[in-house]
Amino acid sequence: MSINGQALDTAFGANPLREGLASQEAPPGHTLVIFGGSGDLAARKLVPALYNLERNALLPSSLAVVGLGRRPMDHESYRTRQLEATTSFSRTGKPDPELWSAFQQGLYYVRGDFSTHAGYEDLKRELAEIETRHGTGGNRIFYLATQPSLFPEIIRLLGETGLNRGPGTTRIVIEKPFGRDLATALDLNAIANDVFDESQIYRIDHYLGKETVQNVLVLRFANVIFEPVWNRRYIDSVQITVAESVGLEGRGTYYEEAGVLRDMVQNHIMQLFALVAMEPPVDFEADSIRDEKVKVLRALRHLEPDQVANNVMRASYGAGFVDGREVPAYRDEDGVAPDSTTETYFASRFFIDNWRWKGVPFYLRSGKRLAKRASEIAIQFNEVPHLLFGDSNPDGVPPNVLAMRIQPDEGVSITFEAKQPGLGMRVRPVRMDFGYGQSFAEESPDAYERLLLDVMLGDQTLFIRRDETEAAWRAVMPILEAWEGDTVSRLPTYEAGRWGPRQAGDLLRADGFRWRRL
Amino acid sequence: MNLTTSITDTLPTLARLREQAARQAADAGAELNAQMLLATIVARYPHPTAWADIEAETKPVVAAYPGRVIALVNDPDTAQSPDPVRVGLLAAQRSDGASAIRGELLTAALEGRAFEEGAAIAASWSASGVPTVVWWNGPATTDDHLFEDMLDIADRILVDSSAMTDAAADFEVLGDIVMASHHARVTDALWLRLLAWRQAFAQAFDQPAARIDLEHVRSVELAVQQSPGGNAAALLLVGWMASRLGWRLDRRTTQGWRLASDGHAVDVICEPSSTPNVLIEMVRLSAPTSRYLAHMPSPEDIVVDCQSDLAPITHVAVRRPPPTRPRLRLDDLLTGGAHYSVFQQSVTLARTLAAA
Repeated sequence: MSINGQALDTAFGANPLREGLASQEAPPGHTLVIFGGSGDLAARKLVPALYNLERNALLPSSLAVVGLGRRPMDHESYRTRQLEATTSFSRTGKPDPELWSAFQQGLYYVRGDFSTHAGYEDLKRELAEIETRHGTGGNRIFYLATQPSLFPEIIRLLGETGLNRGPGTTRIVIEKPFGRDLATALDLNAIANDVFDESQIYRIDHYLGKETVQNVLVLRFANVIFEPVWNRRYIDSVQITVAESVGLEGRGTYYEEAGVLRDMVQNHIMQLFALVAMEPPVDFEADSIRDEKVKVLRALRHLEPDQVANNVMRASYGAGFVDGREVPAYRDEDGVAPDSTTETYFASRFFIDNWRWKGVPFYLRSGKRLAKRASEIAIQFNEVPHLLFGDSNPDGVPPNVLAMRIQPDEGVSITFEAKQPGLGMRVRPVRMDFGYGQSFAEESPDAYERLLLDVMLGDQTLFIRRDETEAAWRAVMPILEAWEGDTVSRLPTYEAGRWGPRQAGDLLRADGFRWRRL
Repeated sequence: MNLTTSITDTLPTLARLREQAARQAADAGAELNAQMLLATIVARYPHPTAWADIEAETKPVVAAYPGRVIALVNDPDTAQSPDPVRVGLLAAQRSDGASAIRGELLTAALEGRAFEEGAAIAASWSASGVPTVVWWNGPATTDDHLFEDMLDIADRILVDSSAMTDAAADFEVLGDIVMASHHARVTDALWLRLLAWRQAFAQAFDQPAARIDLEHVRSVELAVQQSPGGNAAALLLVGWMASRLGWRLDRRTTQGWRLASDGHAVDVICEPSSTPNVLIEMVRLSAPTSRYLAHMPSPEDIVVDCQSDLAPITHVAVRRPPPTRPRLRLDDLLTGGAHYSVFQQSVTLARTLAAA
């Protein structure tokens, strides 16, 4: 717990009644101010997540949520709208009427022009009133859920009107993308860090809130059997896949500007990569973990412009069938230019220049309109140094693979060799499977539930630090720059509903690998 | 799906049942959920209990935490029993609607000496490589051969102190057991039932500004069910609070105890509750300038009203459904044994209070 970054617990001593009950620490009262409060993210994710936290009695009793927007709406209409959205999008379905009735008392809507000082002065007055009514102790969270292009202006105006320092703690949550390249990321960070202390800034990548992503840390650092072999001596290659079967879902204009590299690779995939490849942190404190992630991101081998073509593959989807339904080509989607060269598929080979990973290729891929929705980290181990059973298995035996499934069907599997029953000595790969759904019937919380609670508790472990986002941009900038200098008129295409372009396989084939079938 | 068998043929029968289930699933074009046992659960039933009742009680637990349940049933009429040993599979519905096998149930109806020696059966039927947890269905004891055996073969024993009949003697026994270094750790269903109360108070004092009040508490009043269970619950809750806050026993009083804090006394006063179905109805902590009233406005809620002369009233709500017996057992499987020192210290204080 902290006020503008300063620990409060040290002044008052730890709560002696909390020992043994640490997992359910209650956050103090807060006002959560959502810029873009009438938008999609608030309706689909933020308010349903808050309701589910309330349902599990994890919210402070003194919580107020203030949605900000330009649309004309009163508090009641806003509450009705959020009830409809929560009914549609909450993982727990239709809200309990009694519980919702109590919860919605803390929902407010403030209309205004938040590109001017006047809008913020009005907000300040509204906040003072709401904070007194709810007894929030003046703790504020500003959540930026607007178009990213508005972030710098909002942050600047929060600073100029003094809202960056409130009567209690003040925190700001910034949604990805954090800039659209290194230069804009540096600018955004400079503005944010000029107005707020880094301890007040929570850069959110919802992937880090997923249970299975957090399980990567548990798998690596709570088990003694994996870490000793987690290095170049035993690992042959690593594949990270984040595949989507969906298309643009009405976000054609945004996607045209972004592409899969900015939309998925620079953030989600780089975060998965960092968790898999980082050194063990000294403890589970936010900065200890983030220090290690930054170190490994900085150790990524820099690609020279002439190396991009041999190590990176991009493409866009053509027409095809997904889930038995015919879908258009990317260039025929709404909001997409007919001559677009925005990539919807990305595959690459990276190397890390450090003692642990020297020489181990990391293959990353992500795309839209692929065969299915599947995210996975696969660790392929070396082949045995000498095969005793070569006579019966002239083609050798496949290597061991540890696969961590992020979504769907979350779990971990290990492929290893076993003797096929019979008089011969035939060796066959078998799979040992751990499924979250089979072992733990309890439903996982949504990523936003975890992350919103962490913001209120002041825990930055699952949020991205300034130097992390900059390091991730530095890693992909050579690719963006090479693409910008490459005046292709048309990208290679792949049929929607398949696993990407054929050429993507060449990237691995040259090294003697192939993409995993998911 | 269950079959009658004999003690020696139990595991082969179980294997046949599994094969049968796999064949049926394949015939129906379904995929049989992979078997994953995370625990062996040995459930002791001191009185004759029907298969259906045992199944109803264990199924919700294995649905959430797959395991092999071995039920040892004390049945003086075993000779007349048509099925002294039965095995079956426990299936539960998955979120996608499909039925999946989540556990196994093996029951043995035993009488007299055979029941006392039930640990041997439990040991031979246990799944390998997973922890063995015993549901004792009664308070801890040093006067039972089966309990003594279980301390050696199990990893954890869940006792239930709400079934204590003599608090002074029974807390003496529990205190000795939890402080001794047995192979098994002993956890307590009553301790788990008190979790919502402990959580509520911890939450009320999460606010740093409220924490200073903890050093100045002058009295603790409890409204407690007039029963051995209510008495045990009050002892354990006060024991917890006293151990956390460094209070020591000064003396017994007519309504409770006087405890000594740093430089001042804390009076603990127990009054009979007016609600028959709950062990603890209300707890009030008073300090010179503030009062914290924890109560249950509904069976699903504990609310702490914090009233200070220096600040407005705040409420801390802990919403937690009343723990059912299966739920308590699941909680024990998932969290029992964690933070054991807090439980040990609480039992030690409860023992001191009970003996005063």
